[in-house]
Amino acid sequence: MGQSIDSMLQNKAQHAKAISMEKEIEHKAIADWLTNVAQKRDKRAFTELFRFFAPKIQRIATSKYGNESLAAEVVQETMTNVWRKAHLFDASKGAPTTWVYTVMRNVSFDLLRKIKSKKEDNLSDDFWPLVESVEEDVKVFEDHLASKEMMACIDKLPDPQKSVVKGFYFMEMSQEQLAEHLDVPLGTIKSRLRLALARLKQHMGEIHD
Amino acid sequence: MIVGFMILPLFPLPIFLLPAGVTQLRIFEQRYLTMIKNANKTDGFIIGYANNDDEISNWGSWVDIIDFDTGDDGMLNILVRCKKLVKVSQHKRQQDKLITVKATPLLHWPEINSNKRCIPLRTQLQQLFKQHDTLNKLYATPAFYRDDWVVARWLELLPVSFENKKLFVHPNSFISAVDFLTTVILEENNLIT
Repeated sequence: MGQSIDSMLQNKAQHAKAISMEKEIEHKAIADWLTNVAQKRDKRAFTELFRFFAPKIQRIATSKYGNESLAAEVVQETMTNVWRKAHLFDASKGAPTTWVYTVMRNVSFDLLRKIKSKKEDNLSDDFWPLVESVEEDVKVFEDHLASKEMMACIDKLPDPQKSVVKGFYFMEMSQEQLAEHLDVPLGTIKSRLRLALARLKQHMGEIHD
Repeated sequence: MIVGFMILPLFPLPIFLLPAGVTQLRIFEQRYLTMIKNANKTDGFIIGYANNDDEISNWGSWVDIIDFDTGDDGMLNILVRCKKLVKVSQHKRQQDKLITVKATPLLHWPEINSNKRCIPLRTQLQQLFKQHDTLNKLYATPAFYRDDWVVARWLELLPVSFENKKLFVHPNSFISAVDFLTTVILEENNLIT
């Protein structure tokens, strides 16, 4: 019995050794591909890297985030960065796989951070106070306007800039933006709008009555 | 004028979009994704104002999808262009809560080409397009030569409430619109004394 356990262990050890040898060969190949990509912008080497890593990254990312399209984005971003940053890989500092997975980790953090900041902005109540004060149920609609994320970033700008850029949400300019465009003071825009509306209502009243 | 009516799905959103107006929408709810999928069959859809109490405005913008892509976050973005304004009547809420309405095309302004008062409005709009890439992305071929087009785009862009903009849905409102824009955009002499 003892012997057979011994031999089993020995087999295991041999097996492990075989795996580690395979790994070494694999690492060598990956390191070569990375070097070729870095030095020669070798597209075939990059294809090999992609074939090797893409399904693995996709699998890991899917299991971590439970979202295939997000995972696909991680793959895309990671591989783009591998292509761009291949020259930063240093074989003496560690395995090439570790390097690629570090790139992947950084990409994931960036993406998650981006998503998180979007979410926080979505919750912000003062997002479009003007519209909310007019219609209570307008919140239901807000998300359908695609420029929202862009606006979320804009919301972080200092006030004067924000008001200028903020227009075009609801495809509408802000009063500040209009004033800027026409190169007149904001007060002038406000009084012109009031005047124009008063005239309009008077005129429309004549048509309809 | 007697025109047939259509049964079209309604996308509830308070945006002011006149014929030839383009805007980008972001679609994420399943019922609207389905609506978009069927948009070819249904010949577009209506963007109109509706609230949760099933009150629906009596007019809407009948739009076609002219482009689409997937945003960074995997959501569907579509570009729609208004082909006509429609009178909206009678509506039904389907099981998935999608609203369908009976829509009858409305006349809006005719094509107008050489209204002298529109020249400065056109110049200002062209400048605005130059300064804002967002606008150029929406309009591949801006029709600056058409006065009705210029005036309509200005109305969509102006910071005026939806309620007030509604007045320009009326087919005879073109001259009022020009008056309105002239007051807002050009009338410095009357104000600065």
